[in-house]
Parts: sequence; structure tokens; C-alpha cells
Amino acid sequence: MRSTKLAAIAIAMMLVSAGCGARLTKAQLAKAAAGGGQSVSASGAGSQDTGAAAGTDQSGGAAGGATSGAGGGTNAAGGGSTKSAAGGTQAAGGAGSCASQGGNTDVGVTSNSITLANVSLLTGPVPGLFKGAKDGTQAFFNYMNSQGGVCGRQLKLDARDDQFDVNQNKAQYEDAISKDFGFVGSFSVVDQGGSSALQAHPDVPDVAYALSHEHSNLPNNFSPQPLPAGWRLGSLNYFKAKFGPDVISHMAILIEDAQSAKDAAAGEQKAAESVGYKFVYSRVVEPTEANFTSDVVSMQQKGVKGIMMTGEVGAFVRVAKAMKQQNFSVPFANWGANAYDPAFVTSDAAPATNGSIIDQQLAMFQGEDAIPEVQLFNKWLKQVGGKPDIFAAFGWESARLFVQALTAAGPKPTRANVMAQLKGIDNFDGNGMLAPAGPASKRPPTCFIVINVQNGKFVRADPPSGYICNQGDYFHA
Amino acid sequence: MTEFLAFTITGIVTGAIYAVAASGLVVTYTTSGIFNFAHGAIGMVMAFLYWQLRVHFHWPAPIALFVVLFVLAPLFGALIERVLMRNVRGSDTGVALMVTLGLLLTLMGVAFWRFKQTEPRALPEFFAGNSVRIFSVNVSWHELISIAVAIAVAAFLRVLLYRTRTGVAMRAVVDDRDLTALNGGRPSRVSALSWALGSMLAALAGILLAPKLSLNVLALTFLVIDAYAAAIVGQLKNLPLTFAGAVALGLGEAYAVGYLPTSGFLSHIKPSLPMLFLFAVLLFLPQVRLRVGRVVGGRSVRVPSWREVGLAGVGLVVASWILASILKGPDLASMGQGLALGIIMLSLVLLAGYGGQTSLCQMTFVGIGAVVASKISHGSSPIGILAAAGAAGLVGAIISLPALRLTGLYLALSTLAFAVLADNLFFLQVFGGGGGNVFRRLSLLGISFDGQVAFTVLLSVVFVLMAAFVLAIRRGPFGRLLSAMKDSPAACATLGLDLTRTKVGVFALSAAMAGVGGAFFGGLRGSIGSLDFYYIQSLVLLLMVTIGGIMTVSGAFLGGLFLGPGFYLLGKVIHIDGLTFLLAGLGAMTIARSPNGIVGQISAAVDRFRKQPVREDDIVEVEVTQEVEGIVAPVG
Repeated sequence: MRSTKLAAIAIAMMLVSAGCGARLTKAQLAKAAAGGGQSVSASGAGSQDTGAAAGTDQSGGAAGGATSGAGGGTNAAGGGSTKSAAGGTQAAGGAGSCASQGGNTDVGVTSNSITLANVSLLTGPVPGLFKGAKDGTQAFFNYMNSQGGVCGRQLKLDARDDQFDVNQNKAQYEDAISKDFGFVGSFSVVDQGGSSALQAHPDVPDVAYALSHEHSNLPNNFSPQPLPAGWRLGSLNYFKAKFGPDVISHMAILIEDAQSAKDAAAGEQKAAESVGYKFVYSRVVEPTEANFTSDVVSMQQKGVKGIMMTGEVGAFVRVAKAMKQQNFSVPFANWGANAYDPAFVTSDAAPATNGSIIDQQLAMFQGEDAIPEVQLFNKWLKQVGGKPDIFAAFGWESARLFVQALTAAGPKPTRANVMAQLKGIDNFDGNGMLAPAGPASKRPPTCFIVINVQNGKFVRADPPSGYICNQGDYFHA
Repeated sequence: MTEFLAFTITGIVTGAIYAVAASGLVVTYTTSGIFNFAHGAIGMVMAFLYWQLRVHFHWPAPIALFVVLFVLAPLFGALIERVLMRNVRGSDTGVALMVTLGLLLTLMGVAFWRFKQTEPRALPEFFAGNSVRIFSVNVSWHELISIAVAIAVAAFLRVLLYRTRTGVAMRAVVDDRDLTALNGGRPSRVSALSWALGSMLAALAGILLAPKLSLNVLALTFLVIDAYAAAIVGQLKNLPLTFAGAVALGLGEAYAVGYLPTSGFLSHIKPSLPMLFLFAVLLFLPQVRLRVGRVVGGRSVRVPSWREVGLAGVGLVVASWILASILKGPDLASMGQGLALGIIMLSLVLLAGYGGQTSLCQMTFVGIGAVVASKISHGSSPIGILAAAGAAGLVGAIISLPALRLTGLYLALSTLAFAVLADNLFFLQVFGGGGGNVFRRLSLLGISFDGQVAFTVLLSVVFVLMAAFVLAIRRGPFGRLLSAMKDSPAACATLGLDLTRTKVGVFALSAAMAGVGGAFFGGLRGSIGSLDFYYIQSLVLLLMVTIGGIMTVSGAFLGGLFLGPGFYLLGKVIHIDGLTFLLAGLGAMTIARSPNGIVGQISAAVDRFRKQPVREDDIVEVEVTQEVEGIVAPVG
């Protein structure tokens, strides 16, 4: 049994939350477009168009996304030139046009299979919390295998549990390096353990949303949404324009008591202040605090008109309920991406959370967005008994990014040529499920969507499809 | 002024929640003599059962409440008494603590297994949406009900315990079970009733808390720890004082939110307030009464001869070498983990096993050692290990000062408070909340132990050396002094033995050993962070070494084996959420029947097999005849 600290969960949630915000510069957008990828504004729409083209054959559309990304970023072997075209060809191209050759080309590769490892925290303080990382990865593998695999090879997942132990995490990475081709979709709050193993083997590709800076800074780690220290300015500018100077100069921020949560909040607060926000109330709150009435009273006294909070969804709900009880409402209550969770809109929570705002850098992956990638994700995730949480979404998209590089590496995959392909993918949007980012250059995403809570449901408020971009740069803390 | 009144109302509401939880703790302690660590866990499980009936099965609230509060909770309480607590009767405080801690883990395991935490569950407040405005604050009906329930519970319990025959019988059973029976009382039935009542109050607290906290296994289980301070204000007996303590704590928290700065050191006061409160209350408690004699759970385990120690030590190192050469990757890592934890557990054998001093902050000493060692060549220098021992030993000596006045439960709670404060005010500041600081492995006389095999063998050598050190102490005059102090502090004092020096010495020595363990623990992990030394880890550590056998160095080895490779292998074979909680908890509950742990049972079985007579140095039983103020001559 490992530590049971709630704060650990908050850390993970916070780090994910922090990563859900960034912005592309105009130069970067131009570079991405010139490189063969679609424009950012076309990204969301493009995905949907792909879905329309693919019709009910979602598998084709989604797989095409994988290929189009590779094609967009680099010289994909079998990739199409556009999303929709790739969508139509990937299913066949994945298995047929690059049939398996060469047998055992590298560690974990046989003539008919490729084994990849996933090292996640599965039996930690809240058992099953990060199971989504494994499920999402497995779901994508199952989907790909249903399409014939990659160049005729079936994808196998070697799922490993680090049991919330940094030493075990390291050992699992070391062991898997000698057995498996690479790593995909791992998610753990102790992933700094594996970073030393990967550092010693820079040839081993690792595609995952790493939480620790030691891990995410590795040259062989590629995240579908890289996480630098700091905060996105785009959404801050967007809300500044929407709510006006009076609101943004009377802000409150509540921060859950975990150092990385505090770091993220500090980045967010500094970023906000750099564009004119003023915070008149802030407090670090305990994960298990039950009564926020004192905070509400203080906020009322200080004339707060906007609120931000970093932490986990349970605390958001408790604050929202305390505000509701005191008849204290603010025009701008932004809870961030962690609030996009069923627990935020239960029948008990909804009366207090209705009207809330969420900005995030993923599509509405629980199924509200009707883009093919979301539908595909939910369909295949259900088949492995998973639930569409943020960990599953990153597991799925990590697998997609890996497979994109693997496909581009051709029928004789080696760690070296897959690494080379990954280093060329610097415009990835997970077929529209993620805001575009640069895995190769570790460039964070900067586009975002705005979600409202209405009648106990999450509703996409802006834009109607795709993402809002060009609102501001990334603030590096 | 309006703001102050608003904070006051808020504080009273929070205090009422603490009061309900603390009242349950008090009633269980008053009527059974056992401090129930599992009180919060019982409330948590009952809250989930209430949710199941009320929300999932759509039962009307009154019926669901009646079934949970008046049927399920009392039955469960009575069952606990019959199956577990009856065996704990007369045992040392540590055994009772470990059994209730085992129950806590078991209940958490069951809850994790049956109620997946990834599914959102909400329990609505009573009369949700209705509120009353008091001094510019809207107080919900649910909160008013909580306040009313807290007052009613305090009044009801006061009347029950002091004005009714049943209540008097409950207290009489705690004071002298046999005498109660001689007077026509039925101690077993009264005890069962006491536990049923305690369980009902836990359920009440859980049901009132769940809507405010959400149905979260961890939050509901551990929030009660904050209520310990309130219970201690009333010295676990006085309900009005407990209520006052709870309200004072609630008010303190509300004013802290309102008036303390939100940055800098003072901003950390609010989350630490319950433990600061607890620590302060414990410091002001009256001098503890010295115990004349105690009941020992059967015979003690024989201390091995030096020849046996030598053979076992060499055997362990050779076996470790062979295994380390065979095992690979995660299997080898789990073996190293077991040995490192075993080293740390040896410090508990000295402190709790030999000295009878309960420590719930051993991982804090480990953390201090690790932090200090990491400051010197990132842990790779032998000087770092010495510095780790020195720093941890010094802190241990300081922390032992409350131990001079406190014993048993109060001492355990003071160490728990210290551990929580160290988490909030030290480790989080040193490490931050995530990631970790790099820690390198030892390099000695030009020999590097960086490799996993080499380091694992080194750990086995360190374990053997430290075990020999512990056994040397056990055989020496200090060891005899520790045994005497554990058995009868009053007798020791009467004979002129210096208890103060002995207590400070054993705490410092044990902490220093834990500090050395921290240096090796850090080396094994490669990086250290605040979560590695979280206070819950100390509880788990004590639990596992107690299961193994806290009176022996073999028990420490077994404890490490369970916590390292044991849980690792189980996790590979059986995939059930909360399995480790469940198994650790069930294992701990066996302590009720076997306080000397598995090693004690094996030792007894071997003796039975050999049909050896009871040895002269085997302690069988010493009757407790009375507890007295100050020092008196031993009786019996």
C-alpha cells in the first residue's frame, strides 16, 4: 500500500489542468501550415469534415487523422495529403499498403505484432483513478487492430502498474525497455522514476503526458499536449474582453494545497495580472475542506466579481454550493478544465454550478462534441470498459500520436526511425480532439474552447466547432 | 463587525460537525476504553450505505435513515465488539490502536472495492435549498440540523452515561469488568451495546458530513482526525468540554480564514490548526498516572543467541545476493523496497517493541534523515548517513519531551500531531507537493553501490548490522531498562531508575536509526518527495511491523517483506480495487489474537512442537491491580 494523500490526486489533476492551456504564435501557425498541416482554424472544422466524409465509417475517419498528422508534419509513408483523403485511405493503407516486412526489426517487434508498454498508477490512493490512461491506450490499440494493425502488425499493450512507488515506476520502465518497443499513454504522479531509465536509453520513444518536469523535459518524451511552466494568455484575454475591466479587476483565486497546484496557480495568476487582472482575494485551501462560507463572506466584503479555482472537482462543487447558499453570484466563475467532469453536474451540484464557465484545450470528449474522433474514442473506450475521463483522452491521443509515427516509419519499424518520425511531428491535434500543439518542439497548445454549464449539462459556448485561436501568446513563468 | 459575526456563525457550524464526530470518539472511549481510529471509516461506510438506500434505491429519507442508524450501524458495532474488540480487552494501547487501524484499512478496502471512486456520487443535504439568515449569513437547514444534533448528542450522552443504569454499567465495565460481573452486570452485553452506540454516532457523523464533503472514501475517513483535538480537550471523557473544544476549533478555523494573511508562513496555520490545537492540548494535559503493572499478551519471544544472529545474518546476506542476481526489474525493486522498509521498522522494534513507546511519526524521522543526507553529495556520502542519524536523533530527542509526561494513547496522538505538522510545515515547504529531489546511492571507499543488485545486497548488509545493533541493545543494560520501563514505569521509578533519560534516549536512538533508514530509503528510490513521508505511511509502517512481530527483529524483516514484495506480488496476481487496504487491514486485525505477531506465533508453535517448558525469562502475565497517581510500590 502506498501513500493515501489526497493532495497527490490534486497534483495530478492540477498538472493536467495546467497543461490544458497555451497559445500558438502567428509565426508558429504559419510554420505549421507551411509544413503541410492544416491551419488551426481549419483544425476543428476539418475534423468534422473528415467525419462527414467518413460517414458512419468512423474508423476510417479517425485513422485518417493519424495518417494526416504524420503527413502534415513530415514525410509520412502512407499518409494522405488532407484529412478527409487520409480518412478514406488509412484503414486500407494501415494494413495493406505497408504489409509487414523484416520480422523482428527491433525490441518488442515480431513479424505480426508490436508490443508497447504503459506504466501507470493503477492501484494508488484512489484505486482506478488513472485506469483511464491504460484504457484509452488499449482502446486505440483495439481500434487499430480492428483495422488490420500497423503495417499488418497487431498492437499489443504491456500494461504495468507502478503502485504509486517511484522506485517501482523506475523498475517498470527499466524492465520494459528490454522487452517492449517503446512507451505509450503512461500516466503517473511518480513518473520521475521512469525518467532516469529513459534518460539512459535516449533511443526509446515515450509518448505520454508526463507529469514531472524531469520526465517531460526528456528529449525522447513526446506529449500530445506539452506542458511548460506558465499559463495561456488566450483565454485570459478572451474573458477580459467579454466581461470588461470592472470584473477582471475584482478577481478571487482559490488554490488547492499541493505545491504543483500552487505553482500552476501562481503561473495563472501572474499571467492574468500581466494582462490587467487584479486579485483582491486569494487563499490556499485544503483538499478536504468542507465549509467555504468564510471565503464567500470575505469575497462578498471585498467586492469580488470573478473567481478562478485550481484543484479537483469536488472542491469546486463545494465552493459553488457555498456561494449559492449565500446568494453570492459572480458574472465570471471560471473553474478550468478539471470541472469538465460528471461530478460537476450531478443533480446535487447542478443548482450551484449552472452558469459556470470552463475553458479547456480539448474537445468535449465525453460525447457532447459530435466530431468523429470523439465518437470513435467513446465507442472503443466503452468496449474496454473504460470511462471518458481526461486520462483516457490522453491515453487515446498518446496512442494515436505513437501510431502516427509508427505508421510513418514504414514496414520495418525501429526505435530509431520511429524516434525520427516523432521528432518531425510538430503539429498534432488528435484529429480535432485536442487543441493543436507541437509534440516535437514541446510547444504548448494555445487554442481553447469555452464550455458553459446549463441545466446540469455541459454545453459548448464558443466556438460552435473547432477552437478559438489568435487571442494571445503563452505566458512562460 | 458584520464580518466577525459571519465568521463566528461559520465557525459554529464547522464546530458542530467536529462535535458530532468527536462525541462518537468520546463515547466509544468512555464505554470501551479503546480509542477507535476506525471511527471515521465506520461513518464513511455508513454514509455510503445511506447513499445506496436513499439515492440508488430511492428509499424515503426517514426509512433510509432509520435502517442505517438504528439497524445497520448498531449491528455492525456489536459485530466489531464480538469479533474484534473482545480479544483486545486488557491489551496494551498499541495493540488496540493497531486493531482499530486495521479495521479502518479494511473498511477503506471494502469501500474502494464496492464503491468505485471514479463514479460521481452525491448525497443531497437534508432539506436542500432551505436556509435561515443569521447575522448576514445564510445557514442551511442541514447545518442547523448538524448543530442541533451535536447539542442533542452531547446532552443525550451525558444523561445516558451519568444518569442511567445502562450508562453506569458501561463505564463500570471499562473500570473493572470482573467487578461488574460480580455485581450482576453483563459485561459482554454492555460492551456490545457501547460499540453499537459508537457505531451509530459514527454513522450519524458520516451522514451529516457526506453532503458537505461529497462521498469520498479518503476525505470522510480522515476528516475525523481533525476532531481528535476536540475529543482530547474533554480528555476523552467530558462531553461538554468536547463540545466546547469542537466549537473553539471551528471558530479558530473560521477566524484563520478571515484574518490570517494568505501568503507567507502564517498562511500555513489554517490547515495545521487542528493538529496545533491537539498538540497544545496534549501539552497542557495533567501529568499522566504511572502504571504499576500490565497484562502482557502471552509469552515474549526468545532473544536469539549471537551464534544464531551470526548464522541468520550471513544467511540473509547470501540469500539476498543470490536472489538479487536472479531477480530482475520490478521484482528486484520490490525486494529492495522490503529491505529498506525493514531497516526503518527496526527502529520501531527498539522504540515500541522493547521500550513500549508508541510512535506514529516514524516516517517523519525517516524524512528528516533523507533530507539531511540529500544535502550532502545528494546522499552518496557516508557523512550524509551520519548527519542523517544525528539530525533525526536530535529531533527525536526533542519530540520525546511530551513523552516524559504522556503515555499510551496520548503519546501516540502527540506523535501523530507532530507528523501532520511536519508534513504541512516542513516537508511541503522543502519539497513542494509533487516530483522529488534527486537522491544518489551510497559510494563508500571508492566502491559505488549504484547498481540495483549491489544496492540490494548493501541493504541486506545494513539490515543485518542494524538488527545486530538492536539485539545488542536488547541484551545490554539499556535493553533491560527498556523492558522494565515497558513493564512497569512506576516500579522503575521506585527503584530509582532514570525514566526521563531512558525515554529521551530510546526516542533519540530510534529516530537516529530511522534517519539512517531514510538515507538508504532515498538511495533506493533515487528521488524523494513530500509524499514519501506522509503521516499515513507511519501508521502503515507500525501496522506492518506489528503484524510481523514488533518484539523481534525478525518481525521487522517480515513487516518489510509484506509491505515490499508481498503487496507487489499480490497486486500482480489479484486485481481488486483496494485489495492492499483490505489485506493489510485484515492482517492487522489478527493482532487482537496475537499481539506478538506472526513471529510470536511461529515461536510459540516451535516451542509447542519441541514441547519445551516455559522458560524462565518468558513473561507470562502480570496482573494490573490499580493505577495510581505518582509513584507507589508495586502491588501483586
